[in-house]
Amino acid sequence: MSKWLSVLVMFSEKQIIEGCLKGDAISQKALYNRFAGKMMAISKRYLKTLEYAEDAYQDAFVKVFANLKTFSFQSSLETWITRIFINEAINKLRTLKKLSLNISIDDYALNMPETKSELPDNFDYELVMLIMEKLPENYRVVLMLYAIDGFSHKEISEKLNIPESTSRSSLTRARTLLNQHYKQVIIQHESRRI
Amino acid sequence: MNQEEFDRRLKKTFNNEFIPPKEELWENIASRINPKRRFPLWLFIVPVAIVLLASLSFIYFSNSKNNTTKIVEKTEQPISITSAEPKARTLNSTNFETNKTGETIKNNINQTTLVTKEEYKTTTQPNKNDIFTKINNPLPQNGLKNDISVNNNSTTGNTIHRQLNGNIFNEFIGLSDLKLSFYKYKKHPNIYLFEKFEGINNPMKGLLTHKNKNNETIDLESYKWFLNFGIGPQLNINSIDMNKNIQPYVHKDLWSNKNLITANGSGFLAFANIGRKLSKNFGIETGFGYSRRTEDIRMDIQSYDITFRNNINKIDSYARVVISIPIGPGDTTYFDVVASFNQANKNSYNIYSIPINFFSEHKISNQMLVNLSLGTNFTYITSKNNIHYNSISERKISSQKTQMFNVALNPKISFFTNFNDFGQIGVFAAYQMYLTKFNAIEGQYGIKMSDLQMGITFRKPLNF
Repeated sequence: MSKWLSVLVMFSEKQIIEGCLKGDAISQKALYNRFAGKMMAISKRYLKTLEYAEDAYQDAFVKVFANLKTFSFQSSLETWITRIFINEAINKLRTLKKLSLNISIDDYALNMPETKSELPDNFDYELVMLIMEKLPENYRVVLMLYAIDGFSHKEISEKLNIPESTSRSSLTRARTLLNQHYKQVIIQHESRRI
Repeated sequence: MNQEEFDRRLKKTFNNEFIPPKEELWENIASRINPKRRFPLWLFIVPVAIVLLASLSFIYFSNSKNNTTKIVEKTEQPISITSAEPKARTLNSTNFETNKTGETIKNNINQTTLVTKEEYKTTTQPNKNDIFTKINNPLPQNGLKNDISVNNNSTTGNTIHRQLNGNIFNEFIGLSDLKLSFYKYKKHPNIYLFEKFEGINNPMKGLLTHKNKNNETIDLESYKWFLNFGIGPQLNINSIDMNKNIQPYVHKDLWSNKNLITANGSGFLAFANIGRKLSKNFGIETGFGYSRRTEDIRMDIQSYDITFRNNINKIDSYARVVISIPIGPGDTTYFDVVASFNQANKNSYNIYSIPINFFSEHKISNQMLVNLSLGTNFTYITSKNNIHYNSISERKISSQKTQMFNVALNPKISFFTNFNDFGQIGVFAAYQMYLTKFNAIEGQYGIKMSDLQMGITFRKPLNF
């Protein structure tokens, strides 16, 4: 049987933005559909709880449409929108008082046996998410902002209102914890296989 | 592993992060970025209130008369009274016959009759003031009570024009030897205003003021034939009637949102009818109507589910399709393929109709009557360049010219109030339902049409 695929030729970003600025509902929906899934994942990644993530998600999208006229094509639209969502997520965390400035490394046990196992080439998404959710809030946020979303320590310090040195140390600790936890999971998995 | 490598692998892990959001999140967002403007109620109420207020004001102010007795005296000549044999008078070629009995005279509206009483003769010249005093006295209810004979030898004449209220015939003092009589009109309790007494053929028709002393609605109901005009806006309600047999050929997301393939619109209507009363409260009317209706379609449906169809176009399955493009060592960009169903256009239809309406009308107050009608409109619908969505081929189809005959049921309610003595003015509200759907895409779907109509209407009685 012959089969055919229905494929849509999508509008360019510029066309969508122009349509949104005119208040065209179709363009607004097109913009939303293009970034909805990714932004939902970003919101969930920062806020962990789906309910909080949905609140921040809706507020962020409203801000995107409200401020679309200020977008000047200096970066990609996705980058611009991502930054709005991250800011909104951090504001939400601040509102929920989940971000604390100081946290001691001793608060979190690091009694992990060293192993010679190397990390695989690719992290497992689900596993990494699971481990990151268990990290202290500040470490987790700094790790995501720096390693995943590409912010500098200076930008992170401004966003979280912490010294740059705290940002650097939090990042180091977050990497260490993630690394060790991930290795431990691999070890446990390998031991079960044996 | 160094830190940079760690960060690179971590970033790569989240490159394709994706969580589909709930449907209602977009609805919440859309309502916040595009708040719905509530249609202000005053846009309906104010025009109707203005029309009614203007009508009632016009009626009120045109009815307000000076009911005080007014005497206009043109000369100062004394009025002399002599005894004289009753004889026929001639005034402006109108013959007045005397009636010696002096009884209450029935009004002969074709030829006015003056009464003389032989016994009422005097050589005394009455004081002019006495005359006016008698005139100003309360008038008798029935019959002939006060006769005043006057004689005026003045060549210039002495005309007194007096306007009386109530059910009293206007008195007229002519040039010479005329007698004043007071009559009560039982049959025709309307006020006449005239300076010269002329024979008038059937003064009741066409010259009536529209209110009597009791402020009752004029008897416009006595006419049999009338013209009825109306104009106003209409809300066009369009709903889709999809052929269920085509569901296996239509994308599931388009099928579940098929109500977006058509949409409501707005337009206007105008009609000119001629009607005839079959009885006091029932009648029939027909005429010609024109209306314009629209279909304002806004559809935007996106879906990540891509259809796989067989050789007869039936959908076999759905799948997510992702296009991955390597853009560098260890780096790949992904594109989701999205099925999109879009339409944004406004279709217009011209409708020519011949109505046949049966109506029933009743007075609901002194000033107002209500008219309920149920009609059938035989319509011819035509449209140029209307665009509809083919749900199987998933593209818009433009029709060069569309035409169809249709029949619509049209219940209507109207409120009328009298517009001076010219006719009646009012407002109407109606619902029009087309019995046959409009075939937008043959074999796929039709559009069921109905209209909510309102406007102002005007009725003019015809004197035949």
